[in-house]
Amino acid sequence: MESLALHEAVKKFVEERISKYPTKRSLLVPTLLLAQEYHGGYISPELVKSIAKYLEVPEQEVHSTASFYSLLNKHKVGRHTIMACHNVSCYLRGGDSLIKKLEEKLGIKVGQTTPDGRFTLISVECIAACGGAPAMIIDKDYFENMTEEKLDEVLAKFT
Amino acid sequence: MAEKLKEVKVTTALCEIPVAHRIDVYEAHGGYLALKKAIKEMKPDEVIEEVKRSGLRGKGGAGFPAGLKWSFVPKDYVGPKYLACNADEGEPGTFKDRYLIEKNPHQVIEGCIIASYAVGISHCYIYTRGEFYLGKERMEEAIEDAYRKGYLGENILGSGYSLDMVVHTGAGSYECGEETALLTSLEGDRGHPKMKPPFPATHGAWGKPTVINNVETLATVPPIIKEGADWHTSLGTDKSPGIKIVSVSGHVERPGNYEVEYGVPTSSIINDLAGGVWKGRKLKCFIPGGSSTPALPAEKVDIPYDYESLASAGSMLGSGALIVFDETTDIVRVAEIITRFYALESCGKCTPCREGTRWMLQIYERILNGAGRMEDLDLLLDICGGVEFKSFCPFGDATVGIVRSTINLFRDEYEDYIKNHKVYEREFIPVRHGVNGRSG
Amino acid sequence: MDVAVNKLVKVNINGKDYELLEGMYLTEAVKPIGIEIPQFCAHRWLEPLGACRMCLVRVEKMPKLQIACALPVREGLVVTTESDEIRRAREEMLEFHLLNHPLECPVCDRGGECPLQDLTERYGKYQSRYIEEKLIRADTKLNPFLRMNYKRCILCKRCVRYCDEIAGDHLIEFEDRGGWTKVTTFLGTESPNRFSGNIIELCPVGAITSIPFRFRGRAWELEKTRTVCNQCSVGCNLELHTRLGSLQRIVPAVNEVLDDGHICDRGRFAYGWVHSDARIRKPSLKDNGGFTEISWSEAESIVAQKIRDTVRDYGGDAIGIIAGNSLTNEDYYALRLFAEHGVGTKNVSFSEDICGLSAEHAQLVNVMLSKVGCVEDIMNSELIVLIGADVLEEAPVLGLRVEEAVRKRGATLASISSYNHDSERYANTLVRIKPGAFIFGESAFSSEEFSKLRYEFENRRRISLIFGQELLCGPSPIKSIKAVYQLAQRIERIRQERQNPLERLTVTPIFRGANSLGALILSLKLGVPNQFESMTNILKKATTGEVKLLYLVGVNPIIEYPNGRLAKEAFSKAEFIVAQDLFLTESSALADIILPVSPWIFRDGTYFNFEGRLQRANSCPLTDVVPSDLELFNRLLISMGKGSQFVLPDELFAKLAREADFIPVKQLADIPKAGILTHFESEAHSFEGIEAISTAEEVCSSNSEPLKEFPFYLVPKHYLFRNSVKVRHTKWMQEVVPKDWAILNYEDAQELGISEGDEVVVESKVGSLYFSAKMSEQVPRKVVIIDRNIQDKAINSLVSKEDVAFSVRIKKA
Repeated sequence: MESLALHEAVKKFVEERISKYPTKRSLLVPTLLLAQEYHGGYISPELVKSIAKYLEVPEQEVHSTASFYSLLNKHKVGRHTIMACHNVSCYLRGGDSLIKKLEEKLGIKVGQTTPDGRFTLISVECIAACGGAPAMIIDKDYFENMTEEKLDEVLAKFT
Repeated sequence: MAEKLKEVKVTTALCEIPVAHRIDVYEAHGGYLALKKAIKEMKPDEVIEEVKRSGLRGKGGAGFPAGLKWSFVPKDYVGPKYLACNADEGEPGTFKDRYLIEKNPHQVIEGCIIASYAVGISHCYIYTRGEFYLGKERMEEAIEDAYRKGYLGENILGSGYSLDMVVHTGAGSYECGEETALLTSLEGDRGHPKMKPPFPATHGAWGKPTVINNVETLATVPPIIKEGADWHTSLGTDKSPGIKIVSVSGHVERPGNYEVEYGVPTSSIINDLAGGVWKGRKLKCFIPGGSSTPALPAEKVDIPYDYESLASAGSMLGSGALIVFDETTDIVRVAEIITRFYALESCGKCTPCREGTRWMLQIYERILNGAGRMEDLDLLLDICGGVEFKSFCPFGDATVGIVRSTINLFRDEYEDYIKNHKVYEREFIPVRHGVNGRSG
Repeated sequence: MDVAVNKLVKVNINGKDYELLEGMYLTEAVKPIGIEIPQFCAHRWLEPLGACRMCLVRVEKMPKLQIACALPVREGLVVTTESDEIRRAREEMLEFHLLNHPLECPVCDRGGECPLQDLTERYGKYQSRYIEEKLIRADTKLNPFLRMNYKRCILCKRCVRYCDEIAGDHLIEFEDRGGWTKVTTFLGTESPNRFSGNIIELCPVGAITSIPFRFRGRAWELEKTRTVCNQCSVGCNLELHTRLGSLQRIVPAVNEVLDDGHICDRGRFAYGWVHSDARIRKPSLKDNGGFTEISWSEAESIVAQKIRDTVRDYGGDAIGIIAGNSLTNEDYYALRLFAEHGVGTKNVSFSEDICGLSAEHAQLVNVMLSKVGCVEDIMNSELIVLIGADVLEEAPVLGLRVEEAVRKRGATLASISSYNHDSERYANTLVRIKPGAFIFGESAFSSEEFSKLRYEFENRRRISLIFGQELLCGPSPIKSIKAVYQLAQRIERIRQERQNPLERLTVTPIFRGANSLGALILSLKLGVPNQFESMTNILKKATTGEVKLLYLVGVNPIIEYPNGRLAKEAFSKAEFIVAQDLFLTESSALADIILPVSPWIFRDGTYFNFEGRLQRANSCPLTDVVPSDLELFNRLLISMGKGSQFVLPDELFAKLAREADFIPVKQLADIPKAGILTHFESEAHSFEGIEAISTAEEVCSSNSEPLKEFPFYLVPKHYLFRNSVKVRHTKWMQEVVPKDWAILNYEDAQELGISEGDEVVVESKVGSLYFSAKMSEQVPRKVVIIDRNIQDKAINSLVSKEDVAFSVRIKKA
C-alpha cells in the first residue's frame, strides 16, 4: 500500500505551527483532525502512512493514536456528519426523541449513512451545549434548542 | 422573603455583547489593562503572590489553588516551560468554557499571558476540544490580534518578556481533559494519563515544567490583577473565595451559565437564576458539579454552593455543572447514560476503570432490558469500591459517583425495574462510532 | 529510571525493619527478602506503567493505596503489603482482569507457567460474578511467529512497551480505547521484528503464543536443558525444551551479565531444521554425480584410506582442513589433534571469519584478544563506536545492550559506516565513509568527517570500539582490522600526550560464528604456532594442486567464502573432498563423501562468545542417530590406526584446560552458569605487530575508486534472518528471510529508470546475477547493498580477485 500525497492545506497547517512545538509529533492529533477533512472524511491506512512520513512518527503509532479519538473516523462517512448528543442534559430535554426523529427523517439508524451519502448519523457524548439542550453538531456547526419542527430547516442547509 | 440572587459577572460580563470577541471591543471595556499592570508594575513573583492571596481555585474540577500550582514550577529552571490552557471541556453538564472561548476569548488569552509571565513560561497551548470549531476560530483570531497588538510574541509591551501562543485541538476524548492525559495528547499520542509523581509542575509536557489551568480559572486572573486579591477574597466564602460560573442544565426553565459568588444557596441558583424546575414540577434530585459528582436529594437543595459545603453533603462542586432532575426523571436511565459515557470515554490504560466501567454499563443495560437481579445492586456498589481510589487517574473515581448516589437515594426505582422486569423503551440504540456492534 | 547505586536505607514492611536499596522500585526491591507483590504490567525491563493495579499497597500517611511498581524505596518508608484491605484490593483487581479472560487454562499454552493462573489460585473467586457477554474477537497473527488471542489479553501493555522501549520496532500498538482496546499491528508491519519472541514470556497470560510451539506440550511435560545459543557470537543462554523425542521450543535462560534474558527471533525460532527430513543422517558417497548412502564403517575406512594414501603420496600438507566458526572448543581441539596426530598437516584453518588469517598473524590475534571488551565494559562506556557494525543484525542482543547503555546509562553512540543502518538509531555522531574505506590514519583522523568523533575520543573516559561485518566482509579485511587497532592506539597515544588517560578502551570484533573467538584462540593461542594456514591459502593451494584433499567441517565456502570463483576452482581441482555437514549444502554437494554430524543441540562442550566468555553448552536429552564432530574425528583416528585420543567432551575440556593457562577451571562441571570471562593479559596494552597504515590505497588497494564501467560499490550484507541452509529447512522462518533485494538509493534508481520491485541485473567484470530492486534512503549514491546469503544468488560469484569484488554496474533487466 502506498501513502498518498498530503493536501497542501494540511502541509501548510503543519508548517505554520511547527516552530511553536518542540517536536513534530506534537502536531499529530490536530493534523489528523484536519487531514480527514481533505482526504475523504476518515483516517484511511494511506492517510496514516503519509502522515506518519510527514510528521516522522512510526505508522503504527499514528494508527494507534488515530484510533483513540472519537472525532477521527475509522470508516468512510457521508458528506455531512450529524452528531446528536445523547448525554444526560440533552436526554432530560428530549434528546433521545430528537435522535429518533432524525432516524426517521433520514431513514437510517444511528451509526449509518444515508444511501445517497449525504448524511452519517451518530449519537455522541456531551458536546458542551447543555444550556441549549437538546443539541447537535452538523459538521462544524452547533444547533441548539432543537425541536422536531426545526429539523427540516436545519437539514436543508446541508446538501 | 429574601432578595433574589443576582449574578456577579466577572468572566461573563462581556459575553452578552455580540462582538466582545473583537480585540477593540475587549480593550474598550478595560481589556488588557491587567496585563499591562502585571507586566509593567509587578514582578512575576508578585503576580504569583497576588493570585495566591486571592485564593483563586481551579475551576476545572479539582479546585486546587491556582497560585500554589504556579509556585510549584521551579523558578531557576533553565529551558522552556509551558502553559496548557485546558479548554477540553467534556464533563456532561458543563458548558462554560466553550461559552467563554467563543464569547470572551481575549479575557482567556489575557489570563494566559499573565499566568505565563508570572511563571516564566515561553509557550502557551490552548488545548481546545475538537468539536469547538467556532471556539477555535475565535481563539485563533483573538490570538492573531493579540500578536498584532504586541500582547503576544517577542518582547511583550516592551518588557523583554516573550510568549508564543497557539490553539491545539483535541479530536474527541473526555479523558484528555485530565491534566496529564492532556499533555500526552499535546505530545501527539493517545490520551493516556501520565504517572504522578513526577508532577507536571516539574515534569510536564515533553518532560518540561508545565502549568495546566482551566479556561475559567485563567479568565479570572485578569480581574484579580486589576481589582486586587482583596476584591476577590471579599467575594464568596472564606475557603471558597470568589465567583464561579454554574452551568445549569436539565429540568429548569432557563438553562444557562450563571456566574455567582461561592456559597450562595443552590436553590437560589435554580430558582432565582434558572427559573426553577420546569413545568411547575417538583425537584427530584440534582447533580451539583457535573456527571462526576454524586447526586444529592431534593431536600439538600438549599446547600451553599461552595467546595466545602458540597463535600460535607457527600458530593463535590466539580466543574460547576448543576444538573437538575424533576420528579418524573427515570433515575436508572440517567445513571445508565452517565455510566455509558464513562465506559466509552475511559482511556483503557488501567484495569479497574477500563473493566469496571464496561462491566457497570453492561449491568445497567441488562437492568433496563428487564433482566436485572437484586444482587446486581450490591454488585454495582462492589464494582464502585474496586474502581474508586484504585484507578490510575481521577477518571475512575469520577465514574462511581452517579452509580453509588442513585442506588443509595433511589434504590426503590432500581428495584422496580428488577422486580417487575420493567423494560426501558429505547428511542434509539447507541452505537460506538466507527466500530461494529453495540456499545455494551 | 536511574537508581542510586548500592545505598541501603531502612524501611519497614508489614511491621518488620529491612534494609533495601534506595531508589529501587518496591516490587523489585522486596523480592530478595521473600516478599512478593503481585504484578502484571510491571517488569524489570520496562518503565513502570501503573496499569494493572495488582501491586496496590498501603503507604503510611498516604490517603489512597499506592502502586508498589512505581514506588521508589526511600529512607523511612513504612509499607503494608499484606492486610485484609490489600487482599481485598487484589481480589477486586483480579476479578477485573478475569472479566474477559476465559479460564481455558487446560487448552492454553501458558497453563502451568502463567502468572494470571497463579494469582487466580491465590486471589480468585471460585465462581465468576460476571454474567455478561464477553468481548469476542478473532485471534490474529502478529507476525509469522506470534499469535494473538484477544480473549486472554489483559491489556497490561508489556508487549507494546517491549516493542517500543526495547526492541524499538513498533511491531504492535494499542488500537481503540477503553474496554475495547486491543493490541494490533498496523496492516502487518514491514519493519524487522528481531526480538518479537521475547513478548511471549513477557506476556503474563497466554495471549501471545508461539505459532511454531502452539499445542506442542504442557509446560510441566517439557524436559529442560540449559545451553548456549549457536546462531551468533553473543552466545545467549537458552533452554532447550524437549518432549516426545523432539525439540519443541527454545526459550531464554537468563544470564544477567550477558543477555539479561533477551534472545533474538533467530535464536528462538530457527530450530525447525533440527528434525528436518532433509538433514543428512547416513554417510553418502558420490556416485555418478549423485550420492549413495553407505555404512559408517565403510565411510570411515574410505576416508581413512584416502587420507593415508594422500599423506603417503604427497605428504601431510596435501590435506587441507577447513572448519567453520560454530564448533565447540572441544570439537576444535579434537580437530587439531586429528590434524596433528592423524594427518600431520599444517594446512588447517578455523578462521572462516577472516579468511586471510594465518599463523603469521598470531601477534594481531594476540592484540585482538587482549583488547576485547565484555558486555559490562560496553555498557559502562561513555562512548561506543560502531565501526562497520550493524550490531542489531549481527549480534542482536549485544545491539540491545548497546541501546540500553545509550538509553539508560547515557552512553554516546557513534557509527562509522558507508550506509545508514538500524543500529545507528540512537547514534548522535555518524561518520559516512566510502565503502570499504576503513582508514583511520592521521589524515583521515583529522578530517572534517571525524572532527566530532575526535572530540569524543579526546574526552570520554571509557570507550568501546565495536567492529563488524561491513568491515570484515569488505575488501582487505585484515588491513581494515589493523586500521581499527591503529585507531585505538592513536586514541591511547593522544590521551597520554594530553595527560588525560583513558580508564578503559576496548575493541570488540563481532564475528559471525557462535565460537569464532574460540576458533581463533584454539588455533593461534594453543599448539604449534605455524600449524595454521589461512582459508584463502588452503583454497589457493587446492587450485595449484599443492593440496589434494579438502576436508570440510561445518563450512560452506562455495557461498560463504568472499571469492566464490576461487572456492569453486579449488573444489573442482581437489582430488577428493570430505565434508562433515548437516545438510547437502552448496559445498557439501560438491564433496566426494559426506559424513553427517549431529546438530548443536546435541553438543556438550564449551564456546567462547564474542567477549571471550567461556560458556558451557549442554546436550538435550534426546538421542541423535549421527555422531558429533569430535566423535567422528575419534573414529577416524581409530580407523587410521592412530588409536583413540579422546572420547568425551569433558575429557577433552580437561586436556584443553591443562594446556590453556587462561582457563581458570579444570573441569567442564566447574564452569558457572554465567560462564567465565577469560582474560588475555599477557600481551595486553601492546599494539606490536600492527604496522602503520595511513592511506586509502593501503586499505582498499585497487578498490579505492570504482572502475569506470562498474560505477557502483557492492556492499555485502549479513542479515539476522539470512536464508542460511538451516533457515531454509525451518518453514516458519521462510516468511521473514530477506527477499533477493538489491537495495539502492532513490536517485540512482531514478537515473537508471528502475522502480521498486523491478528485476535488475547486477554485473561485475566476471559475472552477473538478477535481483529485485528495492529503494532505501539509508543507502548513499552509487552503493548497492545485497544480502550475502541469497539462495542460488551468492554474490561471491561476482568476485574476480579478492580485492576487486566490489565494483558492479546495475541495469534494469
